[in-house]
Amino acid sequence: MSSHREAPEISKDPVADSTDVYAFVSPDRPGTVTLIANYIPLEGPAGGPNFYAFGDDVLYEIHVDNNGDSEPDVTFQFRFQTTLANTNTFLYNTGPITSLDSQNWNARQTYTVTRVAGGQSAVLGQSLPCPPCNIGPLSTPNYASLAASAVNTLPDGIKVFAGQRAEGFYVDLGAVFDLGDLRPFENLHAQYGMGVFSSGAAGVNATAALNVHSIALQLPLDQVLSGGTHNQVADKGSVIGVWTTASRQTASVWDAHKGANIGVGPFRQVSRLANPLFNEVLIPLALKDEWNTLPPSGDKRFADRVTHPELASLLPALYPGVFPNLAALNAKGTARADLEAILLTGIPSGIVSGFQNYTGPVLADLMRLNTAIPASTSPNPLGVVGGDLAGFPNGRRVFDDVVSIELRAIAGVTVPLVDPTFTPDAAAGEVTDGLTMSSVPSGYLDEFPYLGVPYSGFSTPAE
Amino acid sequence: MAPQTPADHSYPGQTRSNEARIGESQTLPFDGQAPAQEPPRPMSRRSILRGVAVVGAVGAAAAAGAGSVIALDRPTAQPATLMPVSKPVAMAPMAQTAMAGPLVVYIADTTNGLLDVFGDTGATQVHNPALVTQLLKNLKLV
Repeated sequence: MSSHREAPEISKDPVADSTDVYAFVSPDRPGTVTLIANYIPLEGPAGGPNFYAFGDDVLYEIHVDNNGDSEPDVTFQFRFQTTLANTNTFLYNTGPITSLDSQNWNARQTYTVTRVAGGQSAVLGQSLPCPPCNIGPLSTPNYASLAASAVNTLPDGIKVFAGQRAEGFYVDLGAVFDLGDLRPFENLHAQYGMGVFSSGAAGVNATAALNVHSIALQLPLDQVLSGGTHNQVADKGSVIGVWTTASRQTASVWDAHKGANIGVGPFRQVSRLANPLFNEVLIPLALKDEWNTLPPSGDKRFADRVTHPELASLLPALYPGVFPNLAALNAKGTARADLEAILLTGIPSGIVSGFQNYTGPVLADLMRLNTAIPASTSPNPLGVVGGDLAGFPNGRRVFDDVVSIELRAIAGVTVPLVDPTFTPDAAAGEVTDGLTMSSVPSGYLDEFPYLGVPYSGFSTPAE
Repeated sequence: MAPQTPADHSYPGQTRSNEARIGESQTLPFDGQAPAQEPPRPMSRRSILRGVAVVGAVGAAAAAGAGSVIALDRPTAQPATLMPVSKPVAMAPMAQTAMAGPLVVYIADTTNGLLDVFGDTGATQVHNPALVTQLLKNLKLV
């Protein structure tokens, strides 16, 4: 998946497992950017009575680099606190929850947002309410408006939301992890001599009825950019690099008297995410958990995993004869400078007309967004590959088809950006897992926090 | 923002939620009402003994802590004693409310005598091979 359960250790710790990062110029509020970090993968909507919540013992952070050194210049920290209103019931709620201060709501969360910049911390808001999970029509009637009331407005024009949302990332997990099956082309799969598929098939969105927990910020540009106005695309100061981390205290002890894990010691990073699928697809299994603990500024160590991606070698092997030009490129051992630019440095000026999101020579997995490029009025989910400069990999919008974009990039469709003599295979421009944004039943919102209303437990039981 | 979003954003739960708007006052019978407090139970012999055991454990832990403090302050060839429950060593003065939470000691490698000590959100490292050796003996690992 994008980064759901992507590493062995973090897959055992869902509340600290980042799943997706989004960063885009807010389409309905020019002059602001929206940053979203999702956590808790694959929430089955009916998962009561202990419905999903952020970890009270986890430090969640969204980092912004605005000067190209791949170190955080502005960090937004989130700490959560769960309270029980009624200790004599096993229930999450004892009646309908129609407001955020409902007496019927037993297990609720609030949170504190702190901005850290220049060595100074400032609390932006505290005791901010999360919405409840979407349980069903009896417990959470009118859920959309209830959740909307949990959008908090902070000083300086900042909006913040933290709570459950519908999963906006779409991927055919069941097929992809079945030895790289892409259903639309599965008849072309090598199939290891088993002859399982005789024709292609439509993709199946494995996340179609699942929720996540989102931490979303909408920020005026002066909150994330370095001083001055940066409204020219070519201005290096208009580019930010965004990533999220989750940290836990170093020592954890099971207190048998309290029946709880006690965290002690400094917070240490256990999860990291910027570009979708980076750790998931590019980093080998044995290094994934270590990668999660490291800062992006140290990603030079993993550069070879980007410039010689394992998946680029697998595609010609799994789909014999479909990617001959990619196979030839692999055979030459050519380092993939196109992927290095997309994922590790940003794309410099002069490569794509009217576009750059270059942050400098430091190799780092960052979600790079040129904030001077306005939101598209007719967005293409294929982003820059589809001619829409406001989409991935210029930041990432909630509906961008990052699986198809990255599959095509790895298949070679972006190689001509750095080597005009290379001709991508015809299939490279078509490869996909067969899904589009319309594969997301919840749809998306036109306003903050943009991810759709979460699926309710009542209406979407596990199949 | 989302031009290709399916026109029909509704799903069964949402449709029904509009039909099922219910007043906030409708609650389950036990909502928010803590049951009447039970009278305190008489303490049994077993519970009293259990309490004594807890106090004893706390005393032992305090003694062990004192031994650690001495050992850390004056590292000598003498191994720190961690089991002097009957003869506690002199304790360094400590504020009763030194900290609310636990201290956790982590020894990643028993051969180098390094102890990582964690408390609240802080950490320190202590070099005390004698204490590590004593701990291993107490745990019957050497």
